Amino acid sequence: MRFRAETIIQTLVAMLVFLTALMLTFGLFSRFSISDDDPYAIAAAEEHVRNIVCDFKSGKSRIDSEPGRDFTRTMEYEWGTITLTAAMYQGYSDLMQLTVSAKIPSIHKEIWRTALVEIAQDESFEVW
Amino acid sequence: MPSRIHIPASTLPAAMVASLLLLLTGVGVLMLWEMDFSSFARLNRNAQDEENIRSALTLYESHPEILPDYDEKVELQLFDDVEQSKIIIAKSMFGLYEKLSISSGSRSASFVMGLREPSDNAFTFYTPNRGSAVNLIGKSIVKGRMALPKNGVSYNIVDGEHFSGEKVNLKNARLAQQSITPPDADMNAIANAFMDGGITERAEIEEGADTIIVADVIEVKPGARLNAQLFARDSVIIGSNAVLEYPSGVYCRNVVLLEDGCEVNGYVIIPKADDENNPVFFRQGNDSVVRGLLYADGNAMICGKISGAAYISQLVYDSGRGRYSNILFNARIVENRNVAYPLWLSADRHRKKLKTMNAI
Repeated sequence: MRFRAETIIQTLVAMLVFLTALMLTFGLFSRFSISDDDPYAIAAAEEHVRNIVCDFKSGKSRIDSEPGRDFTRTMEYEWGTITLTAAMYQGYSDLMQLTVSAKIPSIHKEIWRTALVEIAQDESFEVW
Repeated sequence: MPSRIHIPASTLPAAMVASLLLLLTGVGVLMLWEMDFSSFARLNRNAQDEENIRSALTLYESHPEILPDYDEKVELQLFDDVEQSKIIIAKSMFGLYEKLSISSGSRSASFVMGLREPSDNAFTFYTPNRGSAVNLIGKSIVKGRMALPKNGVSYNIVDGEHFSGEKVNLKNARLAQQSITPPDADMNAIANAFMDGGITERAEIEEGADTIIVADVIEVKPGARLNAQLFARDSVIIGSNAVLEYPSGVYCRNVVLLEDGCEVNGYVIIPKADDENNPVFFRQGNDSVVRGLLYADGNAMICGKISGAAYISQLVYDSGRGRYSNILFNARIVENRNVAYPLWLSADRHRKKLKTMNAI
């Protein structure tokens, strides 16, 4: 059997390209599947968003602004910021549309929830 | 002399293979990138779908008029500025409660709904104004908003038993009408519809979950534990220490007997008898509890606890040595803000979730 030198070089080049592509794929696969997300930041943001919505729904928290006036407030956390906006819901004086948005700058992601909250009447509450 | 470049034909497939590999790698990377973003977006979307369902529930609890008809699906955009806030909502009757079904995106749930307050005026205790005062004997307690006869309450002795309970705070009392609040006409018709046609003569039950039982006579065995709404033409007997779990109920046209230590969580309703000479009768054994609404448009002997609301046409007490009227003997009637009521005295009031049937 006789091999031409040219064929061996082609095989080596193809092998090199293939291996490089394989390394690149596996490298990127692990990078994207595990992701560069900061799990702590996402979990913390998600928990904050959920807790804020729950506190408003249960009447534990309440907006301290004139009735019918829109309300916006931003809070800083070590993982990012939370913006809370509240507005009267479609003309119902007993309901409020609450939007809570958590921005995590380190991973360019945002978690948000929009919820309908019944405006608490008499219970003790934490003023925002 | 011009140089001649010699490219062998075998280079072409090698170059094609390499290009294909590079292309596949690029596509794979893009897919992974997309997958990462779409999975995060999907998580966010699912969480918002769940929030939409909870928000729709809040909207319906506060404004049930958004859903005027039973068994008709309504599509709503909950929030004008949130595209993914479309919900489909529908209600149907479930005994004397409602079943509310809501879906949003890939999520859906259903709930058993009742009223936040028993009636338009939300009384905890209502007994009509027919002159005589309500006599409290033994360890009786009445707490909450109440509608009483003109002569209010008095504290008396029956068969040597003195009053030793809590005095009634009359600041919360109003003058009652001459009869108890009548049921909502539509709800009365719905309850009556259960009795139409041929029904089982007698039902003895000891288990059940979210069931509706209709019979002439219904007996819940002692110690049984179930979740059911019972509709009876003649009588209902709840055995000692049996528990009808929240939200359950008893609707009966004639006699309801609660034996010692039993619990009905939901309602006990005995509407006015067709024959006025043969009034309906409710009798509650010692230490038994009705948590929710007791509505008896006839004679009622209360010897246990009503936690919620009691609308009673005629209070009676049978000591064994005599039968007395307008007596509460060792009875406790107290308000309870944690329960929801059946759609009986009003169907237009604010709603309250009693139970999640199918979780989100």
